[in-house]
Amino acid sequence: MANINTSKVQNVYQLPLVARRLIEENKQRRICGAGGGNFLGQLEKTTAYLRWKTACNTLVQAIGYIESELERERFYALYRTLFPKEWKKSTASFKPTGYNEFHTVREFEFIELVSDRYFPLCTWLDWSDFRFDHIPIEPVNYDFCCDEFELQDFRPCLQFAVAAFLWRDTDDENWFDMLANFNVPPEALPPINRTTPPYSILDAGRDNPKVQRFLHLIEFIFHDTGNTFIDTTYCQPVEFYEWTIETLEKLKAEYEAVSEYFASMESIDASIEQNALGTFRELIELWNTGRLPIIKRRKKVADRADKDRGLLINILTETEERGETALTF
Amino acid sequence: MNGLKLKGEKKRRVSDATDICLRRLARAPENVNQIYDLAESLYMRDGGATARLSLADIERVSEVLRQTEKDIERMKKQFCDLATVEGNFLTEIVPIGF
Repeated sequence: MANINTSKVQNVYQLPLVARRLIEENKQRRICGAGGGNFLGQLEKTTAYLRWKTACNTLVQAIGYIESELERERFYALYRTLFPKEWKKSTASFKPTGYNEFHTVREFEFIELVSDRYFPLCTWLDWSDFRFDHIPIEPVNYDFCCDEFELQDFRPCLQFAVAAFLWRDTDDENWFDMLANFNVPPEALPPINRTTPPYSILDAGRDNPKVQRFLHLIEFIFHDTGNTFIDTTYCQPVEFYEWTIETLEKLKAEYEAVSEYFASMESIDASIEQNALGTFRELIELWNTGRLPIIKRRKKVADRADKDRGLLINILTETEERGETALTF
Repeated sequence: MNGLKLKGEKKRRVSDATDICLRRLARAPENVNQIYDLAESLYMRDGGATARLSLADIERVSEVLRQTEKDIERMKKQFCDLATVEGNFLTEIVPIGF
């Protein structure tokens, strides 16, 4: 038992081999002298070293410095693991540029690769002014509550969904303007009589593509998809994602799933373009009841079938009056 | 009987913990030097030619740093407690190097 404890104590402070090798190499370098370079170069190196030494003269500061270097190493390790071919080919420098003191050129190469092949990293943040401890993602949704925007700038399905289901003010000028843009008279639409849709019914019918696309639309406007890229807004505390392989893979998968939501919205937009009134009615019906307007649809199908065949004659009403069996041809 | 056994185990656990603390304290100068050496080695390393740390290495070094930080906090607290007991120390002007 005592032996186990002793080995634990020894292991606690045991640096990995590569770190110990680094220390040894540095000691050797000091013993052998820096060597090479002209006097001015040596002098500049020395002053830079002294400047670093004064900024790193307590244990806490030394730990802070190592931590920042470890973050750099983490980027390199992720680069090597996720993009091994690119790492081998790369000739990018391991030093920061004059323009950006927080990232080396090699780190930037990794950041660009993640943006290109995994998911877009936040572009409006200034990478030259700051080092991000966590992955800064770029949301694909809008802050419907806080952003300043014009409703007509949104895609058709969002214009309708935001006005109808998020704001839910059908006496408002925005509501009338929005419907006028689609040539839909407000009185032709049924009232929106619920504050939230019946999710349990809708979930049960998720197999139906029309229910699915409606759910996607509602989840999108309410930032309730479970997908980081859609749900994240700048007006709420942002979730921090650490630079790990697992997190990067998870975010990659989530970013790929974003396309399903946009495909649903494209499908609704296409329906709106074909028949705005019918589509808006369908969406309101789904919101109110959780079901598609089935009866009307069946009647329509039946009517079309009657017309096509031209042979089906139903004399149900007459026979019912007489109390006889119905005859159907 | 069981109660006695438990009491004995608890006592051993406490003594093990003390043992670990003492050993850490005994190794403190060595560990501190190691941290300084690593910081300087990272500063001095030659960018492309140097061996790179793997993700597992990074975790292990981070763990060492976390342990050291914990020890620093513990020592700070011990020093402050001592200063309170003694009464004449002015903690804010004593250059303890933290």
